[in-house]
Amino acid sequence: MNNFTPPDEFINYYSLDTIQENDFDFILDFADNLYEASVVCISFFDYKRFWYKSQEIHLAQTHTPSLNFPTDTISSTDHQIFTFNTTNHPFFTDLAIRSVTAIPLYLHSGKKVGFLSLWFKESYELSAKESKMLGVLAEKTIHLVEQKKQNRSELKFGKKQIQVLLDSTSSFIWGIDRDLKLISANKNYINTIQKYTGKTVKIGDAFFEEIFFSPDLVTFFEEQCERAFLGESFTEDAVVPATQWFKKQWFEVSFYPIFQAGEVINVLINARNITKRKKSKEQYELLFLSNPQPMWVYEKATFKFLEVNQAAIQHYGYSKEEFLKLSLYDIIHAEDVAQMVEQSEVNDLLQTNDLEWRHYKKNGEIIWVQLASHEIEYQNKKASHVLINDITEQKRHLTLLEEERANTIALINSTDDLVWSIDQDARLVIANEAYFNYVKTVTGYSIKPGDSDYVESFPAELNANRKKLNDRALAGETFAIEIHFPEVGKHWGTWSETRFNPIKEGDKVRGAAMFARNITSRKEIELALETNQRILLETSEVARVGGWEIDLVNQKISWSKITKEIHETALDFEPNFEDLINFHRLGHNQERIKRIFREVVATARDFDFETQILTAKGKERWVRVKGGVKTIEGKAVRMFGMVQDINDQKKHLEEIEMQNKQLREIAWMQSHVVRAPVARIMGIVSLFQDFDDLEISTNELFNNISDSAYEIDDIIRKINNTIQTNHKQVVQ
Amino acid sequence: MKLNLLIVDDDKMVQTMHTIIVKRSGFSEKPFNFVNGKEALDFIVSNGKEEKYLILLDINMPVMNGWELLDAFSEFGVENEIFVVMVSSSIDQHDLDKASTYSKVISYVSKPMTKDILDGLRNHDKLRTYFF
Repeated sequence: MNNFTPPDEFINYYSLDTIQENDFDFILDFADNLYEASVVCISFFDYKRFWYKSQEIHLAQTHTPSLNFPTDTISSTDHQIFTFNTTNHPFFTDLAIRSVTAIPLYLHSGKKVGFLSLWFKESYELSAKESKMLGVLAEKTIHLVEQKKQNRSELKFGKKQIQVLLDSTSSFIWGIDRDLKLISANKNYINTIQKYTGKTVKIGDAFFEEIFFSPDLVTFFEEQCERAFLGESFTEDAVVPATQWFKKQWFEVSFYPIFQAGEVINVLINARNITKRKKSKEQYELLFLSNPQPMWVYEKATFKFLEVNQAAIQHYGYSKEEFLKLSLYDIIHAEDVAQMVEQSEVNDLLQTNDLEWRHYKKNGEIIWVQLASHEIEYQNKKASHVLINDITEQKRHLTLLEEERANTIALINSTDDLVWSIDQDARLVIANEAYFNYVKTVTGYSIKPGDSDYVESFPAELNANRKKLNDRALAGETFAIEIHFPEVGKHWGTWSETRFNPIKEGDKVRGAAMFARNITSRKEIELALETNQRILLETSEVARVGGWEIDLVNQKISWSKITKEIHETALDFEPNFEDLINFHRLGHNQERIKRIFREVVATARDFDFETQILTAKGKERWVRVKGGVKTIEGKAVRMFGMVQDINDQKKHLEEIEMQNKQLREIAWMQSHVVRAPVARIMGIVSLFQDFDDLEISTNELFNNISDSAYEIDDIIRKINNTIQTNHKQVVQ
Repeated sequence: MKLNLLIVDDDKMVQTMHTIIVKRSGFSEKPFNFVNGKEALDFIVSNGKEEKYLILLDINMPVMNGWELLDAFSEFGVENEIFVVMVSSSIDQHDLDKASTYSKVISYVSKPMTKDILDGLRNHDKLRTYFF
């Protein structure tokens, strides 16, 4: 059934040739099943052409040129089915066909256009039913012809219209004979030649114009014309090289043989300029094939790849050849197939969505992609042009970000400290559990990201303070501040230390991150320490106790304020070693202090001694020096301790000692001096009591008693005077 | 062996009273009186080492007081048997304590010395043998 479709040019003249061959397939199939005929054939004819359709292909190939019905049969106007013996017809006898039963095919206009025939190897008479069936099939065949003819009739141009059409087309159309000489040409052809060469073409001219036709092109035309004269109708692309008048042009050239009595007598050539299309194709190829984004075209019905670009080849690892043997099923993850089928049923011309797909690369690696597709027709198939966007990295990055976020949240949730951040408008961005709980407990409100950081239920004063601090951080300042907020004491802590850190992007502050630590217990200790220190300071001032330190390594001496006051130096006085010695009197005192210093450094023993210093104002003053030594690896590095002003104490002691001495003296006097005369009197009395006739005179004894009494009186007066004098001294 | 009784006191009235008491109590027929330690020491040293003494010794005296006499016994290596009874008007515990530090002191008597006290001394462990 080769060369079945006739050139368009003939459509207007020959209606039978317009019938599509497959329209009749079902009639042939039906007849073949119905009858036991060797061949079923539908044949059409007119005064120039003969056409047939048979279920036996070889028949057509072998016998087409010589196929002829008996003329008497053809000319018959009988509508009836007829059977004839083929004995006298070599065409049939060669095929071993003994009888042919045929029904003529009449158009409704009454014109006979052909036959539907059944060829038998044996003589065969159709039954009435079979004949009736053949009639129905003939009717159906005619119906098909009439339908086509009707369609064609509407499109039929008049000869004049054809001429206009030929002249108005931008195609070049010309006819040639077997010698490749022009027999006809349309206006465009004639004008173009004239325009460029000045030549007026005429019948019999060779159509190869050397000006346009390169040697390659001449060869091309010679070869193609040869093909056409063999009866083939075809279309080929041809390139006309650039000339002095125009750039390189692409043509789509169709060759149509024109038959006469089965022979090709002429060839009609139609050359359409497709440069624009070709260029847009090149552009398309550039856009598609060289696009850095992976793309492909697949057939919607089968999901088979029809075209892939270089980027897709590189991305997926398949060669183009491998790709074109594959379908989407081969690269898509099994779990995504259902989604793919579902999506293929969506008939949007352009599809872009957020759906994510898992694709396999050739190496087995799974990648995540998003697709944008456009429905197109490609290679006469309903297809989809797809742009592939690999989001694997993006997803990985996102996963990492999510992990990072999860880690950050876990991290900030691992502390009881409050952690939160705000954006430029002081809206909460992120916070830890402790912060959420804190706000909830203090205000009863469950704050969430996006809320203002100034929760309404916070005391107004607190919010005002928070705003002041937030504004500082949002202005780019990093700082830490201690906040005393007794109202939340029972919920969290009375004291907090909040650190404000601006979050910057380049020079721009994007928000601020805050970190609040409950420092109540630290603060309480600090306050207690401060109090203790103050008490200590006050105590040391009252007790006149000063501190001092000697850095033996750096030879630096530090004195506290009280120490300086004790030494009566200026408050900015910075003593050196020499000064320490010079605050003592030359001689014994200085030697003693040097000796103590040497001993303490050598033995690293604690020390406690009293010494008399000479103040900066030249006053002598008793001080007590007590302290210790710090050693590193057995070596004294630091001496430290206190110095106490004991001058008053010392003086007081001296006074007491003096008084004690007086008391001792009094006691002695009472014992030895006062009691002597008393004892004498007692002795005399005792003599009188114990003995009679004493050998001393009574007078002498009485004088002695009298002397003793006066002696006692004198002594008592003396004692009294002494005490009173001392008392005056003490008072003074 | 007879004990020589020495009364060492700078108070003449005391010397007189002590002499009367020791004679009447039969302690000594002929006591020797000295006004200071020095005289007593010279006496003892001049009489040789064999002589034994019971000294009623006052503390406060000019030239050489009672304590100085006691110290002098050691200093001069006096080897005689000497029993000292400190007789002082002092009632100072300090003096009493000091007296007990001398081995030769056998008793401390606060003035006035009486017949009863002297009788009591007669029964003193170290003196008993000289009176019975």
